[in-house]
Amino acid sequence: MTQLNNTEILSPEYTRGYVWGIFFLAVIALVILFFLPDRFIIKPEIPGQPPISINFFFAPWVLAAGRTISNSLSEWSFRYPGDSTLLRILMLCAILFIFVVLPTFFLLAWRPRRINQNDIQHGLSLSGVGYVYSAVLLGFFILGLIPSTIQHENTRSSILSALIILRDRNYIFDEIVEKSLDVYQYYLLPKSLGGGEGSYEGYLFPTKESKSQYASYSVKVVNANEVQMTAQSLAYPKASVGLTIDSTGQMKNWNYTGEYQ
Amino acid sequence: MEKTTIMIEIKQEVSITLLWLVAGIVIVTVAYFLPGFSTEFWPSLYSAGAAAFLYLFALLFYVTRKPLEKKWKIIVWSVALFALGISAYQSIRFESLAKSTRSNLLEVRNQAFKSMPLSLVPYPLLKTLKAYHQQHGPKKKNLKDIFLQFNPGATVGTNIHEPNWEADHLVILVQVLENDRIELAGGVDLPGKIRVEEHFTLTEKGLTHDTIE
Repeated sequence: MTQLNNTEILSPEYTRGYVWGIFFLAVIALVILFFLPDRFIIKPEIPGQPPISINFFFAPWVLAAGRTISNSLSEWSFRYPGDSTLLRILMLCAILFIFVVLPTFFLLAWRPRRINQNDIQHGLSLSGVGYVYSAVLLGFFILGLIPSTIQHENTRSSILSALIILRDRNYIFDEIVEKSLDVYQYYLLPKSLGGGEGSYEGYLFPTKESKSQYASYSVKVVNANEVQMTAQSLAYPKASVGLTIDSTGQMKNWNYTGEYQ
Repeated sequence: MEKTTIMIEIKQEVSITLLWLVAGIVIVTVAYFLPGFSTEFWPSLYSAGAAAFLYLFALLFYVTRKPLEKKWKIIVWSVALFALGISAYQSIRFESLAKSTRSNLLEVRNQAFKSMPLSLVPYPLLKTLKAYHQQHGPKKKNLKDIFLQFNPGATVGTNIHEPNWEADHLVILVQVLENDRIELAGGVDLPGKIRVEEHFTLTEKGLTHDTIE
């Protein structure tokens, strides 16, 4: 009772429920951060660089990964990536906030509360406000770690798989171009040189060319002026690339199945 | 007297908190800038992360000292180690994903630039081959004459490719221009000094190809 009276004398400006008000403000702020990402975009310092979303303030490694991918997109266009002071500072702030400020406020306020459980004199003080804020934010961070890790593992394999499929498809395309030269040459060469002399009839696809590191190839003569070539992926059995080669050597009617679609 | 005691305790608590905060901020900030500046943030992240982990371990030892109950000591340490472990794991996985993505993207880019000469260099040779074998009558032009018919003024060392757009860096050089043999070398001059060359040799028997990187 005496302590309650002293608390009222010490902190007359604090009203009852003040801490709960701060708590709900913190919840609202977190909802805004996590569910309205488009509202928190920092424009880049250098035109052409992607905008920086502070949606990932609680995950500085996501900021770093985004930076690496952004650099690679610059390298794709043969523009060498520059430094981003703003992003660098943002990442430092994120690390300091999550791993220094929040745990320090929380743990140093928690310990005396745990040891002196009957002491409520800090409940409506500045340390009480800091304690509640840091507890709520730390709780969100820690509770969010497991679902974010599971989500990352799920998307990781699909991202890498998509890139490998794109790469393999490009390699197959090059091999098709090369093999189509052999097919069209047969059409052009006279029969005395082993060609079709203006016809694809009689063309036999060389056995040694029928398989590569990425696909197995087959050629079917449709008629004198047209052949069909098919490349069946070795890594993805349902994926294939098909096309037609006409009498001018032009490749057309491209079609893709499975993962190559 | 009690009011004075409470004020002293509050001031002490605030001072200790501020001391820890300042120490933590200084240590982590110094560690963050130790690796220096580069286009990648991972060295700074790991350096600051390691410093932050050490700071947190020190803070945990301080906070969980006696007379805190053993039960709470175990809980605090377990939660902290769990959170730090998952954070470290996520950092490593994200770095691995980002670098794999970068590596694959650049490979796709380089592959795309290799495809250009492969698709375009054979075209003037196939045109020559077609015209050569479609000739009728006793007097036939040789490969060189037909090639020059389609590419007037071409000599050994000249570039016979005309750019189709501003960023078209393809070059098709005549390397050999003989009556019965023509060699073309096509490549793309990339800003990063990467050059991929596709060599095609045309004779009356057809086209052969090899790649030089």
